[in-house]
Amino acid sequence: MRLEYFQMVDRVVEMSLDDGSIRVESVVPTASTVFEGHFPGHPLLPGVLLIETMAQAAGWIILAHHRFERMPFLAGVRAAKLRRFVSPGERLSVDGRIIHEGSGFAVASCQINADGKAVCDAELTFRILPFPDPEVRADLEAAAARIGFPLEALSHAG
Amino acid sequence: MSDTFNTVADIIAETCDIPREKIKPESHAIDDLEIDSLDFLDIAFAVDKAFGIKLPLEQLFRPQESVRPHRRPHRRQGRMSAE
Repeated sequence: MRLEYFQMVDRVVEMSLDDGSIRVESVVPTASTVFEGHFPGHPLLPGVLLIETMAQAAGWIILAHHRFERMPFLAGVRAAKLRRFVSPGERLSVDGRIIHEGSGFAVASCQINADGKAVCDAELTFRILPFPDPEVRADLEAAAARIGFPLEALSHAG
Repeated sequence: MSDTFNTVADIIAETCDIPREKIKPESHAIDDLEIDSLDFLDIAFAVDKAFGIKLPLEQLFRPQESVRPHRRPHRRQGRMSAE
């Protein structure tokens, strides 16, 4: 994770286009300016960043589902539960699964675990829109390479 | 009143916290019920699930349109029932 750059996903562990599911991994940095304020002497990963982490995990599988031709934008957070605190240095396992593909939107069920225990979960809604700028798409393709996103899987998908 | 109307009206009432009795076949979703595009996502999700369909939301909301669809040209599309 690079919190200051909103890079919440470190690597893709597994992905299934058939199931519309993805598992990614992220390690919370041991040091970040975020922890200087949240909170002094008691660093915790902010809950909103846990939600952002789930959104990015789900975002990758939605991007894959749309062959990188359209982009998901977080539009709604439902039933979010932040079940325990997350500290610097923790390794997070993040699961996202598309539970509904609508016309111009998608809904995903997401959860994060650490050490085999539930950290948080939520149902996220995304609007699916054209890329707002070619630079955004290029940046996402670069990020895909960085996190080991299996771009080759898209060319083999029906 | 058709079952379809009642089902959709129940969904709108629950999703948008609108009194059920305020939702009538002639109600315009935007002008009368003040439903915005984000509410439409939740409504579409619920309608899709209830009827096993894919509500053509993108025909109502053009891509990159910020919040609301054009009102007058598409007014009929916002009505609760066919005119």
